[in-house]
Amino acid sequence: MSLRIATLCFGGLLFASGTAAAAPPPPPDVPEPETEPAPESQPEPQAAPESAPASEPEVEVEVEDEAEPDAPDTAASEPAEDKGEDTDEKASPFKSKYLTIGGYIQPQYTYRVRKGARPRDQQEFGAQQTRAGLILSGEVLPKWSYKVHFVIGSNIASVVTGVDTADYEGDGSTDSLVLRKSLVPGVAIEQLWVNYNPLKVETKGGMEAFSLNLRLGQMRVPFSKQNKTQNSSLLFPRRNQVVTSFLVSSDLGGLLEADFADRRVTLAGGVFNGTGLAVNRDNRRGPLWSAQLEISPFGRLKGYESALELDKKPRFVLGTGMLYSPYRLYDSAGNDTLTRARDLLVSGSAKFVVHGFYLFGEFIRRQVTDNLSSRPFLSTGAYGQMSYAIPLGPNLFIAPLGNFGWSATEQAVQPLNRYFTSDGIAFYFPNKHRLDAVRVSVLYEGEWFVDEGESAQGGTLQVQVKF
Amino acid sequence: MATPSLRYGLTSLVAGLAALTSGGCIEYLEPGELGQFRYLGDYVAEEDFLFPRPVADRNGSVYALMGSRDLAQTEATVGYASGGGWRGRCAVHQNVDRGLHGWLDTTVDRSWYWSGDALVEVNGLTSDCKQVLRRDPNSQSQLAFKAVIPNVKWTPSRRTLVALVQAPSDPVPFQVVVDLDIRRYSRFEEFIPRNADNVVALGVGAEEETDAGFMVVRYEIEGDEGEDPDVRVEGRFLDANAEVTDIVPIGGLDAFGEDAMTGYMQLGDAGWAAGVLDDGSVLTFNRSTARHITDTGPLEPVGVHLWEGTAWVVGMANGRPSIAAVNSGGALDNPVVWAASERLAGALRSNVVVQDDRYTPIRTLNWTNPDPAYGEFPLVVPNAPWSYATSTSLMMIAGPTYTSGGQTFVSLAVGPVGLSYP
Repeated sequence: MSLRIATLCFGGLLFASGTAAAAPPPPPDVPEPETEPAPESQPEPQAAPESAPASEPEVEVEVEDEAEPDAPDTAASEPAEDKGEDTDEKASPFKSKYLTIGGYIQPQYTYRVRKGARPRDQQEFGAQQTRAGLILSGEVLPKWSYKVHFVIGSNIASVVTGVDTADYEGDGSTDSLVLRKSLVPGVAIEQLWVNYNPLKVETKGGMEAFSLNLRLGQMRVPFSKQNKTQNSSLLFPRRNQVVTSFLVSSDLGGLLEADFADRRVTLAGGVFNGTGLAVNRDNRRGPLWSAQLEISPFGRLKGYESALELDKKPRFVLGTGMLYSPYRLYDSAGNDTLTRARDLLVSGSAKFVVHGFYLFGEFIRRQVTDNLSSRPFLSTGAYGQMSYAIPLGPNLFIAPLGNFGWSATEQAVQPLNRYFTSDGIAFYFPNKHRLDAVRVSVLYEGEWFVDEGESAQGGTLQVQVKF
Repeated sequence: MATPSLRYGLTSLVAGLAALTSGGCIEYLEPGELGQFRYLGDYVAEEDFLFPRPVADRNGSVYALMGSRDLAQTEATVGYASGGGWRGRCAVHQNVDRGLHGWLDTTVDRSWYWSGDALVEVNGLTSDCKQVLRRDPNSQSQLAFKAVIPNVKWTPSRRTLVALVQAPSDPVPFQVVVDLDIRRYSRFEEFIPRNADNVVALGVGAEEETDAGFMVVRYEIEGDEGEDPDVRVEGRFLDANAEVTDIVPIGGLDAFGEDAMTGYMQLGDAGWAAGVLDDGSVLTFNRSTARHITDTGPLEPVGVHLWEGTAWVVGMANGRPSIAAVNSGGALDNPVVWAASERLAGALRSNVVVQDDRYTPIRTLNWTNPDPAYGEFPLVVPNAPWSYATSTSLMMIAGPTYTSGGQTFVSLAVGPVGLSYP
């Protein structure tokens, strides 16, 4: 149903925002658009003031051939900052004050060999990871904005299509139930929030000195840098497995975010349900407190992973985050077990970009303690990834990329060490709106579960189209 | 470029991260320290009752087992990691002539025990239990687990273990790889020699390096007419495919029968496997030779423990808990007093707070001067304490007793304890 409504909205917007979509591209030195979509009645963005942040990218492809019809619109090609959220949809041609529609399609084919598995599972291949995202956002009143991000996957939901009884020993007694399941397309909500911006202080030069945002709804928890990055803004087809072993998806809650000095310093804090934590305990009750600090002293950086930041001036951002969830545990009947647990995660990250070179590293530490077991659950993980974008003409960038990650879980008992890598090459095809309108990634992927004696290797081909 | 306040902020950030991630705020139990004990239940107090080491799965759920070495009675129960009492009263056992062996191994949310001839899976999420391979899927014959290696090979894809099984119609047993997920065997090798009679296992042990282990088997080869059968005892090392990799002849054990080891054998980094026989002697062997140590000096061996790569023979010496390492020659070093056991005994000589979460509202009780549920001193037991957390294991204690209907019952509790080896 939601998809049908979104489709209708999409069609209506195509008609309503035809003027905006057909507008000629601004000159190369046009600054980034405002965070809020400009009203249709407003004039085209003005030329950048001299005091504009030095972080504006220089897109060499445009300089080489300004008459090239497919040359990207630099203003639109760089997603606008939006309180730390990646805002790919802001570069969409389908935008108005009230509703902007953007999204992505990510068909993906994976082939993987896992020698230690059962014979049936030793080879995995197919396009099961294919998905698409539809992002709706807008500003219904000054200072009030919203976003809804749907993810439509080829096999998001697993449904039970039949039940068989199993008698493994042939003695006539039922040993187990065998569920026949099918993976079916489904729709998941990645983000669903309303944002209120009650305070925004600008200097005379137009720099944003301070901004305060209050957000409520479902969102990616601001803790790990990558966990906050949305699907289409990742450098690789999948999130790093180190991150996914600590956190999953988004969570429901409220967030307060303060930006200082033209967003060179961002401090965010919030409280969430805690269901986004990778904890398989259904009878826990307690809030999840989140805090994150990011400092980019030489100018703000985009909230996405890419080597397509072409500014020749080096910039970096340091970040740290913390999640803290004190909770009570109840038994299956709902009675208090008197068990009080504390789940603490901390992260640290560093990102460096210069003229198409991208380097990022992050580590995460988790410790879960309680008053009953005398058995802490400790986990640590770290990963690094890098890429370098090389322009090969006005309509193509080629970017080698690689990452390597390590995670160790249950370090207080018998640590399970796992290593991951993903290496390959990405081809970026720009259009007038984005430098990464189409991305084709070809990757080798390997994972080694050294303490469990199993490994898997394979490759992935992913095509990503943003609209 | 950076202002002083920015430099200060960056320095604080790095320092804060280092402090938060160092794990310094994690506190483990000190050796001899007691953690929070949980009331397990009341059980008939009988002399020959056996309370093997409690174990825990990776989710943190604790598994307790009660039974007897000689009697056909077993009961297994699960204490969920989150608390809230114990669930399940699994009583699966097979063969009235054979008693309880103990827990074999655990994975994320499962544990397996071996009782009599039965291999039993206990589900840590539901507390449900199920006998594994009770019958041969092909012949429908009842299968007897003559020996089970206490080592579950666990990968993200499958869980297996190696065992020696025999159906009544089989002249010799088979070494099999048991697929614990589908509860069938996936590979099998016939016991060699095929003309062996009365194949029994004296004991078993795990070898982490091979994801399998070893066993001591005794069998007979029928002699010529009128002659006694030729009795052979061997140490056999098996790999994860249930194939025998090494066989070591062992002399002097002809008189020992099935399950002669007091607990599981252990293999130290020096390559020597060790086990304590029920007459108090110690057997050590590696892949080429064996030693039967009948003179252990003042040490009265109870069992063999493995700790950080060293196999330790634990027991009593001069009335005190003592421990002797198996050295690189397969002999025993001089025994020393096991301080951690004495400290635990001291900790038990006071009030021990026990959480009774069998019913709501949950209560806390004070047990005065409880005893170890099994063994003369804490941890001086046949099987190695389970590695529950860093320098922490699990222990069962026996608290108040009462008489009802002419039977004496004892209250049992399980909890974590800090331990160390010399």
